[in-house]
Amino acid sequence: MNKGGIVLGLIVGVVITLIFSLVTASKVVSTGKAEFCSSCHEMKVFYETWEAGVHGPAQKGVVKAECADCHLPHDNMINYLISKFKFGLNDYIAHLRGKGTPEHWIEHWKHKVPYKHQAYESGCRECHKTLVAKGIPIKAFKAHREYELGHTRENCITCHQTVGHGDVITAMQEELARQKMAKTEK
Amino acid sequence: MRLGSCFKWTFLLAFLAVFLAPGVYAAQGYPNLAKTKELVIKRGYSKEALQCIECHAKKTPGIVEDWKNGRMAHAGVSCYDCHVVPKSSPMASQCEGVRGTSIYTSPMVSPKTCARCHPSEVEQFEKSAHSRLASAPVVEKKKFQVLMYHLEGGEFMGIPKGDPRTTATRRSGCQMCHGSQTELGPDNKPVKGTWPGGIGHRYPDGGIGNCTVCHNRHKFSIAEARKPEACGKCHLGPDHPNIEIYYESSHGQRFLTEGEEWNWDAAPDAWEPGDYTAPTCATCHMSGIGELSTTHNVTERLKWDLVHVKSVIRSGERGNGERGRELMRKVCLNCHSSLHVETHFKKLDDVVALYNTYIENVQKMLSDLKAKGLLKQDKWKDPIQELYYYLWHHTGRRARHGAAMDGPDYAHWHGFFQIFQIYKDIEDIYNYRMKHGKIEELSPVMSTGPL
Repeated sequence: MNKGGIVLGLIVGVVITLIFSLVTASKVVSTGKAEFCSSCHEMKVFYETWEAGVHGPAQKGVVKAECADCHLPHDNMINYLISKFKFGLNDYIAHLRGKGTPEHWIEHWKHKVPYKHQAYESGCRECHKTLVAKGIPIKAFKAHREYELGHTRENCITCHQTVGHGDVITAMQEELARQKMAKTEK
Repeated sequence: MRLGSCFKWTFLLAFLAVFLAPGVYAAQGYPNLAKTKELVIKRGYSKEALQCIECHAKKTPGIVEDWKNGRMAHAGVSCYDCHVVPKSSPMASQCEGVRGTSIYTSPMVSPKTCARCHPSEVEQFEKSAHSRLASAPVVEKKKFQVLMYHLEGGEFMGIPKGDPRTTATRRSGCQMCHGSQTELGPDNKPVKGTWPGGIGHRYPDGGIGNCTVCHNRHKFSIAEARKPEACGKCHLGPDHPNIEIYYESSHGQRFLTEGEEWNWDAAPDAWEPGDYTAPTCATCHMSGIGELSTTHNVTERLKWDLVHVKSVIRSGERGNGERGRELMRKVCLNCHSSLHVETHFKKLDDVVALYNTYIENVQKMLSDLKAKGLLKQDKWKDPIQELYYYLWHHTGRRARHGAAMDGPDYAHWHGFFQIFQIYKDIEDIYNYRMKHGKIEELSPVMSTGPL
């Protein structure tokens, strides 16, 4: 094998790897966006409530956080990727099995608090780094100080339950009612 | 003549004013005789929050007056922060002021809401006997339900089940201190008098406890909760006269003499000897003092369980008794010598040992009688079982609590002085039944029990 061949091989290899990495990275990013997630019909209510909520575009015309910003852990890259793979697979299987209907969620939330569903504190803290910041209302001071001092194990979502999807239970009940009405009209 | 007609007219007008004015009021509804408040605030609240304040300043001026003078208002926490819930909350309803909007409220506020800003306090509280354990009798224990509805509620004398009279004693008594389980109607509002309730009250959102028992709404005062009267609203009376014991003790004597001059408002954990010249209930059982920091777990600094039949060292759900003693010792040492402290605790331990001896002997007699079928089925018609109840639940607690908090009159006259007499009566009945092999025909003791 000649020297030129090895160099060429290396160059081609690096380029291919680079392209593959970039494509993967861009896919990792694009598959965390609300547009992608809501391409499955199960996500309709979650998309609508997010869109209307404080992190969605409706209130100030700007998207403040996409799905993966909250629903994946942001403590380290490996954990992020593993979780992404795991949850992606989970949701895909659930999709194939026809789960994720309004009935499913309403039943599910009878036993579990809806607002904490796979929303990670590390996700909140990616953006909300300084909690006791200039301009926060005085009343927020006490609650956030306990958190910052580590006096409580409660996290962001314990108090800010509706920041992701508003009153998602009510929205889901309304969706269920809509679907039932549509069925009877048929 | 003109003067005379003038008098006539005056009389007529006065007559009309006196007899017709009440009629006018009755037709319009009586005016709110407390000043109707116009309260306009511009600072620090959202538009919705301001609407609540402004409307309630007119509708319920007492609530808003209380709130605006408390720390909540200073911290910018208003009606909206605690009373607004998502529509899907089991407690969601709408007052007339928000009807037709997307705002839902609840008159009930559970500790889960308080925990948003006071997480440590609620967490400590939940570990204490003031939380689930307090309402366990009313909500979970069959024996208590028999007492509330069947006995006190009069089912035993024929009042039908479900009649409101049968729950009257729960609503006016048990629930007021212990708390109960809130039941909701179709409008998500509490029904059957199941709300409000005392310190261990259970809410539909899963929260257990009632912070406003000691920090009354809507001022939520820290000074109020530090005063012995906060505890005395439940810890009083023949079965646990804790406030009476406190007033009798040297601590209480100084509180009654000098308490008005004390500094009741120091910040949590900074309220130390000097702000007061003697402790209140809160000082020893809850406050940050010396090296100890504050706790809302009122059972944390206790060694003995002094409320049940036999006194044992606290363990499991009721705490860690040995650690509790160590903590309380640290409290005492802020003002007393170690000799004084050791002498006190030795006295308490010996009192507990003495009381336990009485109770063990009586329990032995009762189990002998039970084995021979010489106990009545209905213990409230059986003098020996009734005496046993008063022995531990009333006199026995008075003796133990009196010793624990230095109220000699309760340790002695209301305590052991009656314990030995009850013991002797029990012994006599026991001997009679064992000798004759039968239960005596008439009760030789009064059933109201000794005070």
